[in-house]
Amino acid sequence: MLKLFALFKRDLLEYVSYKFTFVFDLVKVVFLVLFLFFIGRLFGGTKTFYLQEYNYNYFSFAIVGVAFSYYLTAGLFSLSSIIDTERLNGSFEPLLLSLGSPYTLIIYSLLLGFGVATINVFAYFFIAKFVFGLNILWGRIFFSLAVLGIFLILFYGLGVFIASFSLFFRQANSLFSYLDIALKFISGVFFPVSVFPVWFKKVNVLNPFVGFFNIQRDILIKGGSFTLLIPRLEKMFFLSILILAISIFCFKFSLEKAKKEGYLNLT
Amino acid sequence: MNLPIKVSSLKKSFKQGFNFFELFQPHKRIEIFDDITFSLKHKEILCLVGPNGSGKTTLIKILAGLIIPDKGEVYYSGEKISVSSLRKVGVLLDDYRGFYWRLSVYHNLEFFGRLYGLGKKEIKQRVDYLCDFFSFDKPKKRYQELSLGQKQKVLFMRALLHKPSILLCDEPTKSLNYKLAHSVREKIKKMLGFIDAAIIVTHNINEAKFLANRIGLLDKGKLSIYKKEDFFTNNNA
Repeated sequence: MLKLFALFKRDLLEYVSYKFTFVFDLVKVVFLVLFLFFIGRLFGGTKTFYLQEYNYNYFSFAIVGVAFSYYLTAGLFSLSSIIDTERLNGSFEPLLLSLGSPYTLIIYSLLLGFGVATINVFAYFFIAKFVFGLNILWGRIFFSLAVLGIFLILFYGLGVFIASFSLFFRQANSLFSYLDIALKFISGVFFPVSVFPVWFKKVNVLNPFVGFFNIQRDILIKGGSFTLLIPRLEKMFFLSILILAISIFCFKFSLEKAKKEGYLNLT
Repeated sequence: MNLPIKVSSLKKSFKQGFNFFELFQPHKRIEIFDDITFSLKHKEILCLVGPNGSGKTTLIKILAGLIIPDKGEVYYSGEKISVSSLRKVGVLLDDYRGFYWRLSVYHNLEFFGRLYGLGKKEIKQRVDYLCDFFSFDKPKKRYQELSLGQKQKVLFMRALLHKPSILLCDEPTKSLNYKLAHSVREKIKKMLGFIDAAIIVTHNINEAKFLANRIGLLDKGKLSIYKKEDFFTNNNA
């Protein structure tokens, strides 16, 4: 616990050492909300078929997608990004030496990613509601966060796998930024996946992130009940546990390989 | 009583660099060293010398648990290398980068101290002691604002923060001017007051002469260990 706190304190001190980072982060959120608000206005008059189930409200559809996509990015890429930064900084070896076990780093990446994503989600919702009058089922926000827990196991499971890949191949982070964009594109962050051609929709059934965004919108926009969601969540839970177990095995293998070939601190 | 460091039959090879035209051929491996066996007695300093690329840093990293050998064992005070036995070891790697440059020296040391499991009060005491030992008076300065010599002192302070009984140093005086390098050597000698044994990698023969009880010459994959006097009479230098 103290080690996790030490890692957090270090990151916080580094973050506040750049005086305007917080302001820039906030401006980024404001601009994106503004952008989505005006896109929403553009569609406001046209009752497009694809948004029918979301009361033709593009703004609430997109805000839920964009805000929750922070969990996707955090889960998939926070561990690999921590490892990559430490390697570039030359501090990965000293960090492992003093930490003893790398698993503290995995837990920390999970907590940090979740914390940062939650702050972002609340920032999006706060600005969208109080500045632009976002209308979603606010009473269900904690229910949506509880459901998120199950998906987080999946996201972090895949994140540990991606970190193993990054440890093994190095310089993979630029590739991951493309993967991040591609996943958001095909998973329905900015628009409903129903707009895709039929053949792609069939392939996209295998994409678990579509389910994540659909469930969050079901809860926050359509008011889907817990009992209706249980069967979908059950399947997701078992898949997530399986992926997490495989990923931890892969991470252990990659770390050992990096230690055998001596590229632990190399980028 | 167990020896502070015991190394037996270490062998290490690395995969040769990637070549697209040999993609489907079995990977070639370059042997770094083979059958490295030695031990250190209490209060002994072993200096490792040898040409560039002879595997000195690789050996230090194996001893630090950062590289896994192909074969062989490392023991610290009779205990096989593990997370717990490595707590007895302080490691000074030849890399000034391994700190968080925008944080103060104190915050950097506090961070690593916490990861070693030290409490807040203990860290404060250790940092004060080490600042005094190394005559370092800038713990509140950001790491990025330090000179090379000051960074070297901070590297030492981190290596000694958790009171290790064994010290592994990779080129501790590299890039330092003569005066500063000499003062660092004197500090290393002084450290034997609270350190049980040390292995120091160096390219500087005078440094080895000043510090070592024994000198290990790592060359062409083999390690030959000499008493200091024998090393210089054999014209190895």
